[in-house]
Amino acid sequence: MLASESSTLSRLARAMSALLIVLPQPAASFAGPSAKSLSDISPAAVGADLQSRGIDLSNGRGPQSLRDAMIAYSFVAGNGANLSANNGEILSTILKLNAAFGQTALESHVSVQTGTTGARIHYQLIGRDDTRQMNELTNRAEDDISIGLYYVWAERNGHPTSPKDAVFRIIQARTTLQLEEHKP
Amino acid sequence: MNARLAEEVNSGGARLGHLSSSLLSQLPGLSFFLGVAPPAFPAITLLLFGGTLTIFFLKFTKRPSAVDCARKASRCIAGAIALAAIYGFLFHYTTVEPPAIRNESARIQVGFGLSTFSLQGKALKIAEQHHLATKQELMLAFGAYGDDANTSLIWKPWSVLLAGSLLIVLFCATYWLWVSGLGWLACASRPSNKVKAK
Repeated sequence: MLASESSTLSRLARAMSALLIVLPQPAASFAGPSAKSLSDISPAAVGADLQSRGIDLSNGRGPQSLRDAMIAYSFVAGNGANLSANNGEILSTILKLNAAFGQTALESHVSVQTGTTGARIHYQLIGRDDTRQMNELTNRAEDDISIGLYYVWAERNGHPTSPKDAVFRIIQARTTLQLEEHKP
Repeated sequence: MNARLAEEVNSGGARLGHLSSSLLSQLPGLSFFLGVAPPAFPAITLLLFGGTLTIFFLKFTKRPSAVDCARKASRCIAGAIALAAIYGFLFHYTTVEPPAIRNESARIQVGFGLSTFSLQGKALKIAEQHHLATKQELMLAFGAYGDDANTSLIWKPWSVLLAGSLLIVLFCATYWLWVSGLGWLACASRPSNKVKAK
């Protein structure tokens, strides 16, 4: 009797294993490609999907590890036509790209504008001491930064021209800030 | 001969049906556990698939009486429900999710909410200075959703470790009791046990 049940159970176990594969999977890591893009994994589609999530890899932006993985993937996959090829090189670049997605933080693409052009934009998380500045001057100042609560201010000739204690909530995938400057 | 064969087929069919329904009854519980796995050890969900069958098999193949099985089942399920309630509270208290606007659901393990014993001194000062009332706002204030940041700037590392460990232990205990309870319940209603009862 026990042997009969064990045998039935082992058959059922195999069936259950197959069934469990279709169960809802655990929540995906923050920045992997969304479900709608899973049907198209060409480099262009993956890049577009990342951009819609606020991760812009163009012009040297975005996390270095993800940029490197994306370049390697684009090189091997071409325009997507090579994806059907079953070789180790493609598999290896896909695995590296996948690992880089997991390390990607939640970021926001921030653009800052001022009434007159030419101001240097500085920003600092309200809980931390390190200050950073954007590479370009206004009104072309933009950067990819981690979401958070920031002090953002403008400087001209090394002097602040907007309040340094103004707190901005930067959470959305794309954020545009307008700073009101006073005379230095 | 034919009558005996028909009886065996019927009996086998009944056992198969019983096992199928018992195992399928695990599915809602499994999908629940998949959704609330401890963020400090998400790989634990992979263990659930094998774990379910192993625990179920262990309980189901034991031979106590139907009454004993039912008693054990009710104890296990009651224990699982009590632990699940504690786990649910602790899960929300010691983890934080990204802002809803980002449409991301992956939670992050942190310390014990906004309790002063768990927070770092600087985090307490910033929370007071800027009137930050939630764990999420503290995470944002320190950029802890970013690449180069970690929660130890906000919560004392030992409290994050303790909270994560507690969640893992509670998760495993709840899961064990739940699957065992259903296993014992299946054991109690096994066709062979019904024959004994008659």
